[in-house]
Amino acid sequence: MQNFLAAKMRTFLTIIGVVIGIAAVMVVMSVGTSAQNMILDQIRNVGSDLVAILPGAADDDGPPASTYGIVVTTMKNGDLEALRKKSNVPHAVAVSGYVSGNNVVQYKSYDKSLTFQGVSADMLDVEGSNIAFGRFFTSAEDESLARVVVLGAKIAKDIFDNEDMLGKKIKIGSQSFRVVGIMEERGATFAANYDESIYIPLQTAQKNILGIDYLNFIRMKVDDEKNVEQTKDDVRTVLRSRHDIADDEGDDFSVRNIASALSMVNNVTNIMKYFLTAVASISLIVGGIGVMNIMFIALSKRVREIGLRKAVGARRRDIMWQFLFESMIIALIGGFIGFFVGLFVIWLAWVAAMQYDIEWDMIITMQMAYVSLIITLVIGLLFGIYPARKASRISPMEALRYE
Amino acid sequence: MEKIAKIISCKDITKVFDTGETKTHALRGVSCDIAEGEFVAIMGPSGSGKSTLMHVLSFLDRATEGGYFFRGKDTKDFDEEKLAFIRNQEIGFVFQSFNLMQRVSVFENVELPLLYDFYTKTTQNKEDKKTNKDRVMNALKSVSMEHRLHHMPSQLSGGEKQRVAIARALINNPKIIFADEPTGNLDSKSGLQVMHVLEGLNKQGHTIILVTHESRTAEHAQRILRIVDGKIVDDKRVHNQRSVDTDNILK
Repeated sequence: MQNFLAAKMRTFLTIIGVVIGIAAVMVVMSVGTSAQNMILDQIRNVGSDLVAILPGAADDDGPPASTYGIVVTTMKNGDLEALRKKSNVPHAVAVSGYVSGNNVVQYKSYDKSLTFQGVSADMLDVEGSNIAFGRFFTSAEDESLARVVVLGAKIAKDIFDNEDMLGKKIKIGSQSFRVVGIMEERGATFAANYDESIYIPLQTAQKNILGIDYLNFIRMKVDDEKNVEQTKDDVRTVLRSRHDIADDEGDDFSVRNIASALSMVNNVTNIMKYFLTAVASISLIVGGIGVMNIMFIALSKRVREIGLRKAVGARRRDIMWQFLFESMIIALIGGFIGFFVGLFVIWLAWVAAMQYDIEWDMIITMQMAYVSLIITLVIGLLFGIYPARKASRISPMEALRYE
Repeated sequence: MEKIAKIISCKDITKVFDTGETKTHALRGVSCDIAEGEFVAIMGPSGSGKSTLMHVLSFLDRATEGGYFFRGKDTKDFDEEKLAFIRNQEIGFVFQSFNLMQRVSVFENVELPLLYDFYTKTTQNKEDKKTNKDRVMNALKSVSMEHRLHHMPSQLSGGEKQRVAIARALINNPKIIFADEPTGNLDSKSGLQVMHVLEGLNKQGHTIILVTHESRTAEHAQRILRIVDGKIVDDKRVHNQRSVDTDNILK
């Protein structure tokens, strides 16, 4: 009995590779898909019909210099006006310039240094955000350098608590701003936390607070996703003619759509996928060698039994299938345990995502069960075939050997 | 089925074991005929080649040279498949050390050859399972072991184990039963019981080929082939064939 338990323990230890391998396959299939879904969700949240124009040149894959915090001052308000013209960019439905800065925000006892954004009145349409209370500021207010502010849902609650806030004045730097609207709650993405944004009119921010005449970037909403590429070309034509650039080598701006920006993030999750796949493959090979090892031990213990079976009429293939069947059963036990370990890890990832308030789908599909089953059977077959062949070649004479 | 007088016929069989460095001549030209229904003992001292001869005759091993005709057919061209068929259908083995599988019951041990019987039935349906059970029971009855059906081999005495092994050899109703020192591991009383069973099988028409080095055991046969140094030196009929006094061994 103790021998039996020891054999079981040894069997379990040698199939741990299969367990880890199958668990890793499960995690790749589930968590990898979850992560990609999350990114796709965020693309949809931000809008796949958005085009961003950033100052400074960039090669196709890397981000332009401006995203690293280097200030490039080549993009002016005149560019924004030109891009708004229907004759220049026919598919643009909303265009907004963006600047941002840091300043102290004060209201009664509230006193904090916060980031604010100067945006065009079109921003609401560009980003697809909604107003919960009051209104967003108008183009006229932007033109007239009006000192009005629209607050994100969370920041509004932080500053005013439960007070009625519309019409109240808060101080940004040394100037007073009237609160005209509160944004609807929208949640956070990896790119921005909408609920903590402070929006003031673009030109008010440029002239009254920051003292600059350039834009950090421009965002543009296109009427249809299929016109995104056409629009990007239109934007390039307009800006090249305004900046006197003859060919694309000399561009002092870059045009992106959200999808291309996020493909970089996608690359990162793909690297994670490849890494896990490599781990899975190595584990499965190690596990397969474990299965082979178990089968060789079984073989050496049962030479006499195999000889007997052959002496009473077993053919080579009968012995072969008997061994393959056993190696597949052993692999299946490992795969079965691995399947549940995988489910557990997937659940853990979901719990961790919940802790950090990330929207995360726990993806568990029948496909995972099928794929695990098939991989397991293939491992059992592949690594069982060599011991099985050896077993099938044992001579029936072995049955006659005296011990 | 046509009646073939000579079930086994061999001419100038040699067997050389070549280990690379040395060549061992186990058989140096053996010729013999064995008729259907005979009870033959192959006798000889250890190392004489008697076991090698049995291995060749029972298709566990092949001769190096010479002709071996089994039921009139040259065995030279028999492939692995054909050999498996003969081992399953035409031959039964009884080993000195019983060779029962320890982990399974008497029933399953006796049933084993039926699992490799792909020839007399096409499917393994319920009907066959039932027939299998009947066949196992019949085989056990013929060795008076039916009361041990569900025992494990470790619960049996040596004589009982050998009788179970004989039941296994009988299950496919083979033409020939090869018994390799069947009494070698048994006390004399159990040995007599086993010989009694073999005598009975011979009377029912089975050809029995017994390998032994004990002349008392060999005398149960009708004919004794003496083999020394890989050659048959004597082939004689037994005039006073011993037969087990049944009163002596039955409880």
